[in-house]
Amino acid sequence: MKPSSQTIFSTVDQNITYIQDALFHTDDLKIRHHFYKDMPAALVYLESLVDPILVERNIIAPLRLKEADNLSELFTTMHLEVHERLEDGIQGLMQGYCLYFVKGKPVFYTLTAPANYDRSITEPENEAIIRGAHNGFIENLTVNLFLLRQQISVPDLTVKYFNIGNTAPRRVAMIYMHNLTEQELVQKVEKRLKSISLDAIMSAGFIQELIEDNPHSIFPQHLNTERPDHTGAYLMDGHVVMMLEGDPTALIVPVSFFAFYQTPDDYNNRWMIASFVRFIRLLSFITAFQLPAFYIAIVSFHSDVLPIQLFFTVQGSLTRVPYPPLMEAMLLELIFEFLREAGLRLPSRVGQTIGIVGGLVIGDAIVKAGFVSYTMIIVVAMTAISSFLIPSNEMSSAIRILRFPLMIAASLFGFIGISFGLTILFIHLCKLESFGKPYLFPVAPLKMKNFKDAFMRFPIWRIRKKADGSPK
Amino acid sequence: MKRIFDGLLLFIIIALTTGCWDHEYLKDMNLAYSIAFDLTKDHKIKQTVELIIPPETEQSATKNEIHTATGFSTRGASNELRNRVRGNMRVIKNGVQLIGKSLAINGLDAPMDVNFRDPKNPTSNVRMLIADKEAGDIVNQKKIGELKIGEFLTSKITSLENMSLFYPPETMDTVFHSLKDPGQDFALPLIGMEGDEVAAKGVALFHDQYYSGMLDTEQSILLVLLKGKTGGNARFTKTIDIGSTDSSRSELSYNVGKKKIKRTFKVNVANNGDVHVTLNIKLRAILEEYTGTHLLDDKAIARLNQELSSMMTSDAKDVIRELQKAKCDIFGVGRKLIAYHNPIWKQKNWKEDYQKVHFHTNVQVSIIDTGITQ
Repeated sequence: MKPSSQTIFSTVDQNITYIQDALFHTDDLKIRHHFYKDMPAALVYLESLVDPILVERNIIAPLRLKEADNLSELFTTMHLEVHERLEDGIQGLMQGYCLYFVKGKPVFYTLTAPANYDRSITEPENEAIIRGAHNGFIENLTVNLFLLRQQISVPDLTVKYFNIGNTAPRRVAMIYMHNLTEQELVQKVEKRLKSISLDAIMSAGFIQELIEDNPHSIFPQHLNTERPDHTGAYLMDGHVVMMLEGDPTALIVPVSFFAFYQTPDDYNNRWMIASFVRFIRLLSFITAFQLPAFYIAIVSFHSDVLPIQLFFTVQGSLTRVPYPPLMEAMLLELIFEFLREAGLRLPSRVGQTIGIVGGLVIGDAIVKAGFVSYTMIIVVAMTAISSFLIPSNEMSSAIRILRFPLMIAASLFGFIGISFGLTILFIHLCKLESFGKPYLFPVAPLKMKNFKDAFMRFPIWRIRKKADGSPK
Repeated sequence: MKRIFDGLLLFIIIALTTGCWDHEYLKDMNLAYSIAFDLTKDHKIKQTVELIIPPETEQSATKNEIHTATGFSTRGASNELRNRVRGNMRVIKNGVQLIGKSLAINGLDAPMDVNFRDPKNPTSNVRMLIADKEAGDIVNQKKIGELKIGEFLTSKITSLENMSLFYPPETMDTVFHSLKDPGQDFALPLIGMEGDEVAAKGVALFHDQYYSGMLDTEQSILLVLLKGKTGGNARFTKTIDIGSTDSSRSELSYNVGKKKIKRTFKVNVANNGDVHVTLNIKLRAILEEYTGTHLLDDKAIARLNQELSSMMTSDAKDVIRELQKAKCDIFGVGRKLIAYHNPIWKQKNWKEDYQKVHFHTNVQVSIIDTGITQ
């Protein structure tokens, strides 16, 4: 877009022609001519962005009924600005403003009458909880900020807007608690947001990928949530939240690995139950990507670790399978991934079919046909269930991918291969940072105090004493 | 593009050929569960192996096969056997190793060498048994009742351990320690055929690596107690006379394995170089059966305690006599000497001198429970 400093013309028609040219004669640009105090005047707006009722009530009605010397006092819109540069007017049109020109005045007026077609505030479907607030962010940034402000009504809650995108800028809000957040962190986020140079930001995922510390890592370094209560809790812990206009996702930074294993539900449950559930989730981290590898290592290298009774059961089910365990595992994992992806895209009414195809046809027939063994089905099913225990979808996908390299390592070198794979993985995790904060936080660097809210969920009065060194 | 293609090719090669050089698929294995070694008349080693055949379907049970081969060494016999059995014979889940008495007399070092040398052979959980005649005969039974012979033998060992006939468990690893230790000998459970049944015969005593004697079942239990150990139950039945008024004799069964045993074991060296060993145990007995008519009041119990103590002390002395006769230093007197009286140890020729050790043994029994009747 060429920057231009064209100021207002003396006649209304000239102004209108200029705007029409700038918008390439788009058809939804509406112009309403009339006379104000016998002077030709015009109201210009984009039909698709304004609410006709508001225009009628706040702009047209006052113009008809009254006459005043000062137009600024006449209009009853929420917002009114006076501009000279036509370029500002064009920007305003894009955001749902109406422009009012009167012949002979050296300025024009921008008046708000934005259309609102938002969906209602509903609970996010993939983040449903049992107890607690059942609201969720929507595609309107103002409403989302309203939800946060409603929760945290203190002046310390600070919002900063950025317009990101060179061709089609979109508003991004950076939200933080002024008194709780490290200034360094705020500056870092601000700097990274400003450094984005892209034509257009299509979704929150764009921001995420452009500003994270290590885009080549498989692990997510932002926590995504559509829950205001979840976001609010992180704000109160001194994290920075980013939200994109038109996207219901809040991006929270910095996060540690363990944040992906926590849900708001944990804090609504009794602490012992919450601790148990959290422990199970962390256990699922291990089973979700190591179980197939472990199984492959056992049946191809270390059969001696099996108890004797199990030995024969496994052997019996393996005898009819014609290829190596890795192939068997890969085949079944791929079938499972197919089913999962297919189930995701199908409408829920057809979705049941997938259950039948996956569960009955493939599950049973594939063994009877001798493609895979029963034990492999058990292993893959266990793995699949474990991977869905993880509350965060990104983490769950990351873990699902991780098992393939580990499976190969296991089939190459057995248990030693797994150990090497895990060593590499943990080296990577230890090195990883989310906005300068260590990703594996209470574990590396080790801070026993913070274990209270990482592996377990201690009673709230024990956690809330701000343990030092927490990613505040 | 080329790099992607190369990566894909590499992935396919890895996926299809991984671990080719050293993998050992579970499905290709034929498991040898119990193995017996015997010495033939022409000094060859005869190996009898129970192979487990995996079931055709998951639900059906496994079957077993018995194979025999001879060779100049254990590995030689195994190789001979491998020529005959189907597939890949593996001993990785080997649970029991039987050794015939004839072979045991000639020493265990040679037949067990392969187990210690090759790490693929398990040692840590392999139980060893000595057969009083041919070990192969026992494995050749193939099935005892519903159980396959290997399963039968492992469960047999467990029950022997539970009855304190043999405890603590002696595996190939612990035997190896004792074999290499000049101040420590070991014993192994002894079994044999009685008609069609496989029965425990006691323990086989070893001196260095050679079979040198045996104890019967009751003595075996006492040996376990003298070691200060118990497998959970240690039952004795004695005929005893306590009635002062009527002279009826009554049967008495008691269990000393339920309670902890207090043991004192001291090795002293006298000025003249004689080794004196004090070995006292205090047993606490629970009365399980008493067929006498006399009421077991405090007085009677005190007398019983005295009577039982003296009986068991003399039994214990018999056990120790047998041990010394077999030159089996099972308590590790030599180990104590090495540790605490090293100059004396260096003067001794332990093979001969062990028999000259003076044992001072005392067993004290006290009945602490008579059950719910008196």
